[in-house]
Amino acid sequence: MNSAKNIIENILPMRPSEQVMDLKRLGSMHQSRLSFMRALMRKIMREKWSIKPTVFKLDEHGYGTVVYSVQAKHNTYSFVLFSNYLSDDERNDRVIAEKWDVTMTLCIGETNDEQIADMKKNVPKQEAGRVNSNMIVLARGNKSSRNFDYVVNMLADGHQPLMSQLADVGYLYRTTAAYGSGKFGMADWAKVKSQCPDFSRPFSAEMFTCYMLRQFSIDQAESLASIKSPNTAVPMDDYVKRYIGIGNSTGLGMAPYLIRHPQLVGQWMFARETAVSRVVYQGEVNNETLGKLTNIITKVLRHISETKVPDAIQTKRNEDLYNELSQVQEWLNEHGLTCADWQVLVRYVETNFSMETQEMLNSLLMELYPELVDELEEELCVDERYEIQPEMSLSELKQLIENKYKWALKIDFSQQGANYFFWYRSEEKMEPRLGQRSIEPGEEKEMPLTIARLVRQCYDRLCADIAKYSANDLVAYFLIRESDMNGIVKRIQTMSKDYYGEIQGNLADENMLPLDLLRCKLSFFGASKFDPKSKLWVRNTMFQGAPTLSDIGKPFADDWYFPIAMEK
Amino acid sequence: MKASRNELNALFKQAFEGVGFDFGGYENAADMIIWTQMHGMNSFDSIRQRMSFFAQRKRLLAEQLAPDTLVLDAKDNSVIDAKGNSSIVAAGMAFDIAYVKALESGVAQTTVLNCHDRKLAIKKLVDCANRGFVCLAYWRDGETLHVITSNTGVCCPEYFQYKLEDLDDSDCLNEKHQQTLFVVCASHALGLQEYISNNLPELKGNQSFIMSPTMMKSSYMAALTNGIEIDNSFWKELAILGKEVLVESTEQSRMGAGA
Repeated sequence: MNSAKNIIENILPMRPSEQVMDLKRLGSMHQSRLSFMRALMRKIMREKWSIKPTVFKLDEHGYGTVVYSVQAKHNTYSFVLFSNYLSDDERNDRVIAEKWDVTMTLCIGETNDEQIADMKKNVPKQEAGRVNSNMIVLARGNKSSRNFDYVVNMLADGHQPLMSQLADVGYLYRTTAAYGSGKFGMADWAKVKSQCPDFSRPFSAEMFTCYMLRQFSIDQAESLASIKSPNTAVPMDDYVKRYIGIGNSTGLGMAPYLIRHPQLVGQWMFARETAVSRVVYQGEVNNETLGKLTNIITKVLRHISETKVPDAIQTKRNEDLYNELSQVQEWLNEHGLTCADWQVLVRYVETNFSMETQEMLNSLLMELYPELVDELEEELCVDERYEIQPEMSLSELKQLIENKYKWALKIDFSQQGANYFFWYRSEEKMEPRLGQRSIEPGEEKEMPLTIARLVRQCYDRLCADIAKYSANDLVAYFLIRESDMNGIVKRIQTMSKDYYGEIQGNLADENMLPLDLLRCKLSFFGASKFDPKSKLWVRNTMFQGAPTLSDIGKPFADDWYFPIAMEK
Repeated sequence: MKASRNELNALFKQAFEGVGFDFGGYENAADMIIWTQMHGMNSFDSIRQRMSFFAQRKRLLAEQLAPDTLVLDAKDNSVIDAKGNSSIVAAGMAFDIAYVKALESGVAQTTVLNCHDRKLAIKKLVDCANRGFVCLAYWRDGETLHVITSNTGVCCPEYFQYKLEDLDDSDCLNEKHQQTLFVVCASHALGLQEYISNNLPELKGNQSFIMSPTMMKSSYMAALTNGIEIDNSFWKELAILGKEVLVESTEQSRMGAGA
């Protein structure tokens, strides 16, 4: 248990896990100061990283090789990108795609021509290639053709792109995958964490790679405009550059990760909930903080009004959020100065408004008190360790399940719809998929992601074992008799020590929305403008509003979240 | 070829799941094999020889030990019959039983009969030592005695080999125990020393091979930094076994895909 946990446990009340880890609530979360992109940008700006293109060999179509040298605080890295021709009908954001507009890698140290030539053979192949342990991230992206061509043409003609156009689609490229953690021969997370301290926080290298693709998209657009019309082309204005983010498509692949890493998820949630608890109970309410919150809400309202997505359900959620946040602002104007602390506001919002608004408010309150929140970004890592406690008695294990997994035991798996889905890996690139149990083959190959059902099975077997042997018998003996329970017993015993971590929902239920899982992880990443394309995948925008390379070294207010379209 | 720990972990897990190991079991298997390999003890060769055995028994749960596995359960001495299975199945149980008994008695031994791949027990020894106990594992292989010991608070254990001479029939290391693994847990170093004096006089002899904690740590760091060497064809064999867990792609299944 880390120090933050000890401090908070003794002082501040935390929201209970049944509230925080409810799947629907997780699917209502928004980016915050602790999101990985936010923390990464603070680090880059604070440490004044020096990032410069050292190779920029693009032809008149924008195809070629680009290398940016990255001098961070501790090490030098290279961001190497290959841009290739891709026909419109080959452009596919799905994981099963085999060609992309750009492919890229982030590697340790400077690169030479020989290394770049070797990368060129493998990086464009992505999953089908092999890379080496000097590389940290392997990623790819596709052009948002309409937007990209529009921006290039505008710049070539001597104009800035219209912000209203960029408000609809706020990026020139979308990433479709960013692999790290040792995939395809890359450096293991343990190596990155111990040997690359600049990227020793979860997913910071992956986030940085997306940030660099955003930078490339701007540089490439300017370069092409200049080639197209050297006499009239203008560079992109800084305010436009900042408003260009990087698109992202996220599918089911992200969902199993959250289930398989409950300790890590628990750590992230604990840091976030600690921040919420600190600001709600310790943040002072005064004219200054009230004014700041009102201003932030005004900005967020405009951001929401500028967010246009085709999905009817998401549009309704955005409208509700807008209306409810407007009411929060009215309430603040009326009652704000009478609040002794933020608990009053939080209670009002919890009683009257949707989870979406409740979680938005939590994120916004964090913005008022960087001094209470930002240090928690150091608490986002955990060395995951799942261990059997063989000395535990069976009665103790039973009690532990009854206390900590009450939510799982409440689910009646005999009910129609409770076993509707099953998760499996497809032979197509081992892509995780969700099957309908009654009609699709492969149920016998189900992935063990329905934790609630596994807990129920374990509990039933445990009760039967106790009846046959003794409640005083030990787990060590139970696992000899019921060796197939090893995995779930290990998980139950380990996770019983964590406040958060287990996502409290039935992942096989007919009404389960995988999007909620994706949204949870994306909010930790720091993504915004969620644009669901089905129940199974979502487009979103990353780094929109963030400083660009030319901003590094200048004053930084860390207020780039929920950006709004500002005309010059 | 060189591979990372993470992708080897995924590869082994999927292969063992493919041959019928349970949730928990295939994770243990991958963990034990990769830990041993990274720490310089070459588990890949021995497990590769066993993969055909695993593959032939897929879905028959041959590697799952039955309730009669525990054939003796005395105060500080237990016997498990692994029935010809690998230590990737039996070693965890053996250490867990020794540990819970040592909590009561100070020192406890589990004897695992008919057990293969005994070297892989090292990972479970390390896990047990992390509970704050001193641990020992030993076994005989021909005329060689293999010994692994771990003190609490030390990152890696020590591995020794001794040449065996003049064994008599009463010795626990006699011919009957050619496939036996002995594991010992003690709550205190003195308890383990006493066990060794009483049961393993061979440890006073000349060591023919030593792998120190420093050597193991150094091997681990090199594997982490540069990647882990694995034979290309072994990789392919594992990948083929792992295909058993994949579901054929159909038009219907594509509708359940993420994007």
